[in-house]
Amino acid sequence: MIKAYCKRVLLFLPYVLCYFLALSIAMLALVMYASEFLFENNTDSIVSVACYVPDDEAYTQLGIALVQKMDSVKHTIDINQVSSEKKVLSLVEDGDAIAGIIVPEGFIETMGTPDAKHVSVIYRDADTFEEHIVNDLLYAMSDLLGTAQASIVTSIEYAKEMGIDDSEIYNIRSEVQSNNFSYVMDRKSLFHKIDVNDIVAKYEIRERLTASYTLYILLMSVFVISFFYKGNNDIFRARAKLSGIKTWKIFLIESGCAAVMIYLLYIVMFICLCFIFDTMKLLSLITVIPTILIIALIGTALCYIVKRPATVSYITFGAGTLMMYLAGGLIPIDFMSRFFQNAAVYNPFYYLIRFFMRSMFL
Amino acid sequence: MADSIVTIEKVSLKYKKTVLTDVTITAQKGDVIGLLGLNGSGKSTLLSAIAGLRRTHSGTIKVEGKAGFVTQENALIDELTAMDNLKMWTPLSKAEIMTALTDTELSILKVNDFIDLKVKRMSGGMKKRLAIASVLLSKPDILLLDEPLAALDIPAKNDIIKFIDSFRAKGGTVFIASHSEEMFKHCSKIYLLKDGVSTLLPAGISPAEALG
Repeated sequence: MIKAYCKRVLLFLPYVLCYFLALSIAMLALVMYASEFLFENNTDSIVSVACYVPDDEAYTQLGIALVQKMDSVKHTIDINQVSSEKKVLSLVEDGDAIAGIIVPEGFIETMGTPDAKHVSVIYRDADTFEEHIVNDLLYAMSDLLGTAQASIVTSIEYAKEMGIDDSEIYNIRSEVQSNNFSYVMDRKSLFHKIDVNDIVAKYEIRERLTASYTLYILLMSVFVISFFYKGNNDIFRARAKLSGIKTWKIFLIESGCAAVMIYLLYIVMFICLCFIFDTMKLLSLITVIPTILIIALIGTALCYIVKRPATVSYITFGAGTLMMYLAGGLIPIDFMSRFFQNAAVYNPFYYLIRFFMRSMFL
Repeated sequence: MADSIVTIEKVSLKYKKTVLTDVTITAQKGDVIGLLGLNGSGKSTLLSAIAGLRRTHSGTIKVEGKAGFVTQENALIDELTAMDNLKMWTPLSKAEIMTALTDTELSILKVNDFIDLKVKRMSGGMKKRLAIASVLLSKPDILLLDEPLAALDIPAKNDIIKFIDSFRAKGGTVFIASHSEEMFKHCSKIYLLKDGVSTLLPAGISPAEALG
């Protein structure tokens, strides 16, 4: 019987691989979606802020551009730069922006002097969650601008006291400014983040999604190969009984065959992923095996219980998708509400995703 | 009763829409038992119960020996050849299987004519012959045939009837669920299944008359 099943697997391969290739392409599309849609276009921004900065405030412009690239800002605040103060007011009044920021002319030059000018912050609806987000944005911007400006002012004052001529002072100012920007641009490299409470934190969100999408497609492959199972058929069992072959033996043989086919799918997907990630490790071809065995056993058991291949498809697709979604496998759990985040820890798929992620990206 | 190889006593069972309430049948070695009834009367369900695939709600089914069940569907694997399907269920070598197919009563089924053909390329008659041969390789004492002549051409029907006669002649017991008048001519006893109850059909009454 084992020989016959091995032969079946070999005969199935071209057919199965065609399906698997299609699934792999679907997975690649999902990863591209995650990359481009979720993380490039700021579509998940929840607060829109109108901002006016005068043309001569190039330094402030640069500061805002830098702030806008901050991870905490780019996913929560959409800074919409406009051409006039009036435009800021109208956007806030119309409700198109939750808040407006107006930077006055000469803001940088007068900073730290008795004539210092203030940035106007206009709220449409004060005392809301969004207000706190805008406040955080202002803190981030003022920290950045204030620290940079303080260092420039200090260096210029010190240069003047030393009697250095204006052209040299201009060079010093430019040098300090350049150093400030270099620091801001490289600030991420100064820190190494370790979250002892969350092993997932050490993975980039894109890797997390890639792992869960891969797992999702491996799960879906169960219905692609459901036609392979014969042990769920009463007649087949009667035939096995006549030959003295135990049901559990057929179950194990079929699970093994399913595992081999799902593993081949992973290899195809692994090759595809190698074109996207330079972090893919060959060792993952071994470390994912336990997860694949679990999927094969669950899939075979499902086919034994449910029997009709169409019903297997509905369950795999319906229940599998729902469980993966609730476990944060389709949309990052960080983007889900607190309720769903709390509920996810009771979902076995939540742990299966984590286990698979660790085995995939090591 | 002492020589009975299959004893079914006051069996009741329910499977899907089929309900059997009181079925009593006995079969001795060499008997060919015909099960007659309208669609949904429980013929296939009763054969499944004899094969041990369905549990009875009450009553007993005693089977002495191994029962081989050949259904309208089959336990064949479409992607494999006839030989691979046969090898799947038996420790016999290819040569031993060929000998069994040509030198015994299995030769009537002419399976060796299409031994290297994949099941998915076979006709209904070929599949039926192969399914019976596959079951026979395990040397059952009782053969349970569900609609063995359904959708077969005349030569295939003749071969299968010939085989059943040969199997009976060697002491085998056969249960046949069928709608075919032709098939019932070869039965030693015919039981009518109606309203969940089995009735032994008296000699001289044709199946068509019995069904009304």
